[in-house]
Amino acid sequence: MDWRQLGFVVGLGLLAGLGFSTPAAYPQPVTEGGGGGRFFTGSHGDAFGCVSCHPAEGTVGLVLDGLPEAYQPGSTYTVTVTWPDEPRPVSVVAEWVDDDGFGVGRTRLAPESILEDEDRCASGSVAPALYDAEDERTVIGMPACGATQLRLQWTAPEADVGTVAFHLGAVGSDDSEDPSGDAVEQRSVNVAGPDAAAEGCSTGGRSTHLSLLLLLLGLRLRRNVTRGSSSCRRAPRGHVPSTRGR
Amino acid sequence: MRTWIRRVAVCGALAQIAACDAEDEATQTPAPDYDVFVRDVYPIVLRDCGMLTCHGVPERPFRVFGPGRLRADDDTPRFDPVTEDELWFSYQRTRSMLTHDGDVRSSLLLRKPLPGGGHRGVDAYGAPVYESRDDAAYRVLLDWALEEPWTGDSSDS
Repeated sequence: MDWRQLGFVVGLGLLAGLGFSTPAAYPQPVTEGGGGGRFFTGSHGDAFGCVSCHPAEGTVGLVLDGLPEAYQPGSTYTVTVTWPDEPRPVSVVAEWVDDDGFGVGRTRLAPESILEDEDRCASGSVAPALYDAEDERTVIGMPACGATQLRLQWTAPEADVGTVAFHLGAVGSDDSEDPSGDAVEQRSVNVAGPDAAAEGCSTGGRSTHLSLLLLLLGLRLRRNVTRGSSSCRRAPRGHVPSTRGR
Repeated sequence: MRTWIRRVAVCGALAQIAACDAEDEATQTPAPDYDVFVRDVYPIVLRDCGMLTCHGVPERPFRVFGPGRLRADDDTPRFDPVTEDELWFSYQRTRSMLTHDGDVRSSLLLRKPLPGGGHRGVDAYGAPVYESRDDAAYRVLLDWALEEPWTGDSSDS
């Protein structure tokens, strides 16, 4: 073990000692001060968010990038979450769940080869980790270590499972070692299933090709084409799941 | 006039006492097993109820004490193991939430975390703490309150 690895281990140990300043405490037994399996991502699989303990005093200023409007089965998406490096160190938890609150797709840490300085702690280490939670959920957790960016990769399920959701909770610590005075931000983003993508504005796909074929046939028959050939139309509303039916 | 006011006041007081007596007769506060509470129920109410802005604040009648959350004694370090006093206080507070008027399942502890229970512990989807009586954690609370395994149907209220 070199000095860098040792520093990482010691750093994580110190963060674990601060309890809820790190998501690493959440899988620990609740009688030892852990979350007892709750990760407070705000998802309907967890049922609680950061504000369950941290009275929100300001927001963190999260910026999300890389989330598709609709997923394609089996496709992998790299999601980037960024936040300002001042004035507070930020910890983040996030997960993907389906309409019933169960984990969906496959969540992974971004490969080290694509990481940037912003992904690393002040010590230079890489802090995010994956945790298994009930209901087949995988939670990614980033302790407050000085990093200003979290990247993760999510592979969509192989089949259409309808709308899924990316849930994220972040706490900007004021270093008081208690929940007061911290900034809190909770985000939930719905990602529609592939059916919605097919019905949305697209330039490819079967319906477009069929429309073009009909148009060409129509022109050949020298008939007036009064209706447009584009498949572009508004995606249907109602992709937001109303309730969970677990 | 003074006599009339005095009569009304006396009648009101008597009526209030009668109402209180009637309420006391109708309501019951069970005392389920303390050891079962410590072993099975306490970790659940600490996890699912005792968050620091929920039932982990001193202002709430129902509050749960423990490591990482509200401490009964301000001098107790936040992550020190739970104390005997905290277990006992938590038991009494939890037990008080089982007060009912004939059916313990209508008590606040067993009614509020379920759908339609008027509880604030909901997520962005409006989901409650427990989806139904089939939830494993909820069943622990229910079995403890009933002092026997519950065999009813999840839709049975």
